[in-house]
Amino acid sequence: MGDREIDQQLVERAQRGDKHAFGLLVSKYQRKLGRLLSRFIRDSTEVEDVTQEAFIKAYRALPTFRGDSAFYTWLYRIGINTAKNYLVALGRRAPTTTSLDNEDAESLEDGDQLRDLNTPENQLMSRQVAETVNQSLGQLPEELRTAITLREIEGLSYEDIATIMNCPIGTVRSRIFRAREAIAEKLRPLIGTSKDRRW
Amino acid sequence: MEKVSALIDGELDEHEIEQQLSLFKQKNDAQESWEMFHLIGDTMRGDSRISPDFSRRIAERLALEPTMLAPPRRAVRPVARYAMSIAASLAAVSVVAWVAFSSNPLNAPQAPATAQLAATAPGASEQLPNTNSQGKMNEYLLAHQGFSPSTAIQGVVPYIRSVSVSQPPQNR
Amino acid sequence: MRKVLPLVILILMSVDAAYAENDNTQEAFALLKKIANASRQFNYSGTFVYQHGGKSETSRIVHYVNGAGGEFEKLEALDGPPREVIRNNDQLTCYLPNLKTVIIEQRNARQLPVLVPERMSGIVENYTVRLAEMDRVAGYDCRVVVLEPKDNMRYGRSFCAEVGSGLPLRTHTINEKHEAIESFAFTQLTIGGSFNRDKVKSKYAAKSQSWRVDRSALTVSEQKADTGWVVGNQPPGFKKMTEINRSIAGRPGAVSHIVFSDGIAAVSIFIEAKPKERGAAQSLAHQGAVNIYTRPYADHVVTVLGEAPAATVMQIANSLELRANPVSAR
Repeated sequence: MGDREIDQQLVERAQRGDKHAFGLLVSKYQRKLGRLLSRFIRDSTEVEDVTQEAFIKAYRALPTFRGDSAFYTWLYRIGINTAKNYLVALGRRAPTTTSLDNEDAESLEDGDQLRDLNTPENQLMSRQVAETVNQSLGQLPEELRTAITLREIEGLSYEDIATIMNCPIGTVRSRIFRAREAIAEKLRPLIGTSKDRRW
Repeated sequence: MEKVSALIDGELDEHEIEQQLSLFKQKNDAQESWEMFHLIGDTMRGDSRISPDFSRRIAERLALEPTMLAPPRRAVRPVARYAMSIAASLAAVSVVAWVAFSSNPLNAPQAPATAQLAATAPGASEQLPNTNSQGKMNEYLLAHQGFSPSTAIQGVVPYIRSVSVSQPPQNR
Repeated sequence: MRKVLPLVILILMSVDAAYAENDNTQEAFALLKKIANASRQFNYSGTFVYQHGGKSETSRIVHYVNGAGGEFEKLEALDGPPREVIRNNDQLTCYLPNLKTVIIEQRNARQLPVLVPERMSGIVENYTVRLAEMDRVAGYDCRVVVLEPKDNMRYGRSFCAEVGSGLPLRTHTINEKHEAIESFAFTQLTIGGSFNRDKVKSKYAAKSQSWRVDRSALTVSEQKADTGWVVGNQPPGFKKMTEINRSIAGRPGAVSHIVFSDGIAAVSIFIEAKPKERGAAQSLAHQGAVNIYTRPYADHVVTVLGEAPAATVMQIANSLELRANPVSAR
């Protein structure tokens, strides 16, 4: 996956002192990791705390990351350990995780039945976000919707999408971008933007 | 912003990736697009359950963390036999002193007063060892050596390290 | 709380099991144990050279054990500014004539870091120990024993031990490129000799009466002190050995001192309150095999140093935190 290249570049920048690069990785994986850890920890505020701790631990352990595995795999292991330690510290039993430890980080995400774990406020917000995204998707011209779905849900490369949609790669790239922009426009009033965040 | 979209999908080549990443700090909308587009993808996959200010909170915590200084990585060679290569120059006698970390800390003789801190951490705050801090380091080392097994094996010999006095090196 | 005795036996047993695998390893370990004790047991005097980073320094050393088991040593720098270190059992006195300063360091009597079984198990886990060639140093025949690190979080070592006494005549610390980054080697040595108190007195003893004296103080107890600091991300193979509250010679205020070791290398963590004039900078420096890294932490200064690669030292330093702030605290 082209993912690995950009993760590797971001990690190397972070290892040279670029905190902002690490921040980009956080933005990318925060929800994915949060979802993983919510398998262990029921309360959603606690999940966020533990997710945050996992990212900090990963940041501190950066010098030891050598790129033999994908960044997310490494992050995922740190996340699981953080969650386990957290539960142990609180005297709670962790769910049996032997099967979880051995599974591929990617395959873990499929067929997952999530329980409704959010606090009322988070629930409302994420439901609104989900609704807005779905609504905007529905309103997109078909070729844009198809392109972004093949990319985000099916995980296909631009080249494969171009083959399926029988169009040039450049067109795929442009369609995916326009789809994202259209949805983003509807989302911005909802979640606001944080232009003044500093790393 | 279309490049940000392609960047996220891993569809830029190495050179373009570098370019784009460098632009992030300057262009706030690039940052915003990165976050927004990831949110959209995650939501489509059902991953949306994290509070909106998570990013802000972790940014605040990261700001408090010391900037990581990863030393340059070297490939590990298979162990066949140790090749002993020590600088055998007994003629260059000078005061034993602390040397600030450089990309070649091991073999290059350096004048302590002018040594630069890691080439691996541009932008990290640097501090040259001055007379004051050299003395402090020796005090810590002295305290440490009472607890080190490798020191104990050699008796008082390794203590020569901790009584180095900060003076300009005298090269003969 | 585990009982100490059964644990020691268990470790001895498992270490012996490791020995059995390889005759060379068994011999190598036996030699390592011999080396560890030799510097304390024998009387000797000689001249040695300390080399690192392209520099070298020559010093004289004298070591005596008297009939009552008291141990005395004197180290005298022959190059550069004059310096002397006198060791009298557990007290170390450093004379720095150019600064007109005497530093007195108290070593921890109850936890003298000789190679006890706990240390041996650390060595087995983290290093491959093997016998190497015969050599000749300072006119004595000696045998090389090598400790090869099993990962890059530690340096390799090589000791050339005098065949009779086991005294380490030459010691190298080796990095991952198999280069010696530091070495101590005798150029002249006399083993044996009778005890003579005068030979281990400092020539500055009288003069130093008017000098400034900096002393350290340790509180030694069976229980480890609980300083409240923990290392969240310990480098593999390193275990916490000691945790005390103390003072550092020449500095006011209390210092927390935690020591991690992998059996042969040790890393010390010092935490003290940040002096007002100190900025928030971090610094990384080294001398031979010792790397030292300093960083601020809230209103403290953390200094981590040891005979380990910079990455190890930094990993310990950067994952240090006050236990008062666990994950669930808000």
